[in-house]
Amino acid sequence: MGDDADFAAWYQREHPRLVTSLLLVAGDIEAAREATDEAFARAYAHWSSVSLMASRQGWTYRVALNVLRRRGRRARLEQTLLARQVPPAVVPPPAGEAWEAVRSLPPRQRTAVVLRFVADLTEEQVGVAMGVSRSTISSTLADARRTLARLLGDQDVEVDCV
Amino acid sequence: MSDLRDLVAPLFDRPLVAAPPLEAVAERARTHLRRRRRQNASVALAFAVLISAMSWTVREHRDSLRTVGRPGTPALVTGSTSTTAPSPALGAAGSRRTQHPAPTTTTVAPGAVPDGTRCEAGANGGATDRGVTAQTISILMSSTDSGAGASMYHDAGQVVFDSAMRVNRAGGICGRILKVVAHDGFVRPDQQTNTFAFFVGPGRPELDDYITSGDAERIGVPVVGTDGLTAAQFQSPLVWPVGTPWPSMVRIAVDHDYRVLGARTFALLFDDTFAPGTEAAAAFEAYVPTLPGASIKLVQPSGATDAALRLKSACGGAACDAVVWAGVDAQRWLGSDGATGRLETDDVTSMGSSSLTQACGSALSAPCDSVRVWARYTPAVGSFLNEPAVQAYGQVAKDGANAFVEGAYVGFQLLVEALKRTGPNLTRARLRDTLDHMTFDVGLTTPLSWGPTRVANTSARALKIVNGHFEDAGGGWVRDPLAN
Repeated sequence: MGDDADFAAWYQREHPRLVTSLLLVAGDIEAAREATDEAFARAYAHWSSVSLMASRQGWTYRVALNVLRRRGRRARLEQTLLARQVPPAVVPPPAGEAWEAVRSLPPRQRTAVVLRFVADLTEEQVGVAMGVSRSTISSTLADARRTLARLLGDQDVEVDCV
Repeated sequence: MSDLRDLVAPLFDRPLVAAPPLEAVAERARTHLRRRRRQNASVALAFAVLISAMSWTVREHRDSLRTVGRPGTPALVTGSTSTTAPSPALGAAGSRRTQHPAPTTTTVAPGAVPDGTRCEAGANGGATDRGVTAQTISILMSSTDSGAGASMYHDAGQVVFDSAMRVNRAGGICGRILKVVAHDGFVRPDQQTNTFAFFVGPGRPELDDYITSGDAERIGVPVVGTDGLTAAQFQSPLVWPVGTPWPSMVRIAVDHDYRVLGARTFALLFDDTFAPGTEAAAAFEAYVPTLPGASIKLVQPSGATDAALRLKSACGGAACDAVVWAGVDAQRWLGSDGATGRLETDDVTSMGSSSLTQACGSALSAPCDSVRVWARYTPAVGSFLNEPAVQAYGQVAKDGANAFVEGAYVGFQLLVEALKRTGPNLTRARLRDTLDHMTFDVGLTTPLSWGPTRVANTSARALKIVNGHFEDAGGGWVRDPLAN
């Protein structure tokens, strides 16, 4: 399934960033862990091709986001069918009010901000992960900046749009 | 706060969860691959069943051909690149079954054809490419027959099979019958040996990964007739979508309301759990501000627990001239989103089912009066059923208002037409060339052709709901105001 040493190094480096990113997107540590494990397993299974991709991070984040979405749909369906009470999301407190503001962004803006500034992906890679064009990501991040500025009352919020 | 990155550092001081050891990752990877192999085994079984059924059908057909002149015997398709109408379906005169109209003909530049090759059985050149033999053309189909969405997408597979069987009853294409191997779920063509072309039905988000990962181009199998619901489908020269992209649908609806109805305040309700919804939202947010005097009152994910409250707060009391629904459950929102007094509600989800008409048929006439539904394909409903192409589709579709199924029908007709025009010397390269240079018009869309942007369909048409039924709202095909 590929070069183990190469994968192991990349895996150890990227795992914390991916699971933290997904936690900030989903607000659910179990969902984030499950999606992370599945994404890396698939990357390992297809490492011979994934390792050659220009954006292996983008591919992996894309797989992880899809797993999150599918899990989210199942959870909502279960909630509807079983009238199950979903426990409130438990998110470790990140630093300061700014991240609370990020958590309150609309899901699409939140995902873009997290992938860009937590996962440290380029806009191109964020586009790959979210399945939209780079220009869409640019405008989404600009929208997030405006929303955050409004939430925080801070005109100096910067979102790096490089 | 000057830099969001400064806030990230504390999150990595202590890892939130430990990374599982590599052995665990490897084991999970093996489980993933075993699951895929099991899926391939079920595909092989389906293939065996299907080829048995098709072999029986071909034998039956040969037997009928031996008796020349028997009334109702289907005609064998002959000729090279010219198109012919499919044979009449067997049935008495005056039957509801009618012929498919002949699609528009565009001559394909002839390539080198081996000597003696003709578009007929026994002379078609045989195994001209992987997935092609003298008798068959192998097409892999990913469908959604189980799980979430099956109720909406399942019939897509049925209309594809029906279309393939009609072609096969007529003798196939240049003497080769279509061998459609269906897989419930997504499977890559390289996992199904000898696939010539790939048809992906609605409800398969894995197609995006297949494209954006580079697999589509690496594997090289043409993916023909996809639904066009996500941006990724327009990013590969190996994919030919037939549906109008969601951003185009949103712009069409907004532009219509602005120009025709004088709407100036807009809101969007969208499903942010999948890519088309988020792409529609991005297009909405980008386009509305370009219209002089227009403004956005709200962009609201429909799944949020307070979505209804927010929508009523923003748009209640006719505060919003127009609200666009993108991927939402129309039946749920009808009458509950503060629609009273509003100019227009535009549903660009494009008729996933008849739930909307059912809701309008039972009650809530006032909100239904202001709903305009935008469709990518001419649906098999109302006065459209007077059109021959719509009638032909209506005979194979259980729900003429289900645009996902209709998209599969249009997409598969494209594949069939392209195979016919490519002729006996059937290779992937020649099929691609055919698709890239043809104009396709099955009578359910505007004429489609694929340029560098890969966006062939940039139009939609509007329907209204009258007495619980879809009817033509007039205005014909409306084009995306930003389309080239």
